[in-house]
Amino acid sequence: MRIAVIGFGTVAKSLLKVLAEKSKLILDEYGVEIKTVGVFKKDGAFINTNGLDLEKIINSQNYRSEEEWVEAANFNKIAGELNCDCAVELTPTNVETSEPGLSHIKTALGYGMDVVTANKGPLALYYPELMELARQVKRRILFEATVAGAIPLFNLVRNTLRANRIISVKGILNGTTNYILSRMTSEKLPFKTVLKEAQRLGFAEADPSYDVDGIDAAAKLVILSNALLRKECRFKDVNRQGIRDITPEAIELARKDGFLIKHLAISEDGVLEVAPRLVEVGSSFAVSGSLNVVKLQTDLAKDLTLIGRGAGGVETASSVLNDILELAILRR
Amino acid sequence: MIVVELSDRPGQLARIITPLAECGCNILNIHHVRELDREDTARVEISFEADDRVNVDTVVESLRREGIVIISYSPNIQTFRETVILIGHVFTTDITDTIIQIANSGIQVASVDARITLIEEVSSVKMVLQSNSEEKLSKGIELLKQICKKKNLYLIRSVRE
Ligand SMILES: NC(=O)c1ccc[n+]([C@@H]2O[C@H](COP(=O)([O-])OP(=O)(O)OC[C@H]3O[C@@H](n4cnc5c(N)ncnc54)[C@H](OP(=O)(O)O)[C@@H]3O)[C@@H](O)[C@H]2O)c1
Repeated sequence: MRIAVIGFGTVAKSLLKVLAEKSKLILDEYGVEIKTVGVFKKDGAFINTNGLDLEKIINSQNYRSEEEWVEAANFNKIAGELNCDCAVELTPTNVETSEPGLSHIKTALGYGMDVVTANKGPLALYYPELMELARQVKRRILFEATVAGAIPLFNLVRNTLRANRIISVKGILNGTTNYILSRMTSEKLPFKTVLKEAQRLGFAEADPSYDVDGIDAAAKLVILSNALLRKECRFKDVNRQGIRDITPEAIELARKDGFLIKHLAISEDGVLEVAPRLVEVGSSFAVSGSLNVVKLQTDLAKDLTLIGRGAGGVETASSVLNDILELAILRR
Repeated sequence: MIVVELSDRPGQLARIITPLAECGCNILNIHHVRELDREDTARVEISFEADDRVNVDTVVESLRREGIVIISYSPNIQTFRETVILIGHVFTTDITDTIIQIANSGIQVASVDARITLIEEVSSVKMVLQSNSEEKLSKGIELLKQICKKKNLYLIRSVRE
């Protein structure tokens, strides 16, 4: 299968590295060969319609001097020339316009490509439209990595919970806020102090609002609700409350009665909410550090809880790669 | 829910557990209500659940046979509780009024605990809301949400697993 990777950041680089490392295993196990014909950045792309040497571009010191670099090449303009089966969309998430991801996905579908994405923006804003578009052109959009990084949710439900109805989804979908709340609890420190520490350690962005105001978790909850609960909804439908106002005193009061304060995303009875909640110490939501947890309530299998890494280059690439392989196996 | 009086000696709790279990009740919560204690005795509130076939009167009768003093009991077996925390200018926005409004909606504010910094600063208050009907409890929580919105308080609810 021929793929184009759009983005050359944390996730994309990990994906290319894993693709290079595992190409033999992938061929032996699944009988498919993944050929990467384009890797796009903002200012251009590496292009080789016979397949790029991935090691070489990952290790390149000066990408512009690489032979395969095409200055100013833009996916939307040259997608038609790539003769590509699948576009892997890994540009930054934007929940206001969802660009550039939205155009990339539409372009890819327009040229008959399947799409794999880790970018939450387009799906958080236009899930129903994009899925309809994919249906019309008889192509698929897979997006395992958009929610809870490495944790397989959509694949789990699609492939191993067939015919189950998902009644509710509850979880901790943002590692940064979980880290901050865990530190506030263990160190009895105020929000601002822990946030600064997290920023210094690189766990939180310079502009933390995406995480601490629940924007990231809300985008993920919208995708979960559309995909698993079959509820047509959008980012603006989420009631959202961040964690900036939580105090060490409130955490202490909660602890006294055996509760922890966690930032939960809940989709239940048609209501979508991201808000801090009291959870019992020892409950399945009482995971600490930057871990994610997702609890599915289903009609047949009943309750399922998954815990794992919600972010990280390689962890996220694991989900992206599995989606690519699922599509490749279908086309084999 | 049943409130019983126990003498303040070790081993008293065990006396109530056996008859309840024999009646097919599953104990949800045992709460020592210190405010109600009389000298040498402890008053304890027991919430439990059981299926429809179990009658509260039978449960009360079996406790009495054990020689346990029953202070009060509610005809409904189950109690629904939710612990919540409010953060903000809880006191300058009149916490008493907040509690009275909730109590007036027909649900019980079973306990209140606070961490006060300076009165004019942000404080935290924990409350346990309780009712014998799940519906009433959710209505009470809805009301609390509205009060918090009006008073600009930050509300943290519990999650149902
Ligand atoms: N990092 C994680 O752990 C994680 C986990 C789950 C999901 N995600 C999602 O995965 C996506 C990628 O994350 P990341 O951490 O890899 O981001 P990143 O490190 O910021 O990389 C983003 C990449 O997108 C490229 N890009 C931006 N605009 C572009 C355009 N118009 N055309 C082509 N390329 C463009 C950038 O190009 P330049 O190199 O030219 O700047 C950069 O290489 C995001 O949507 C993120 O939300 C990330």
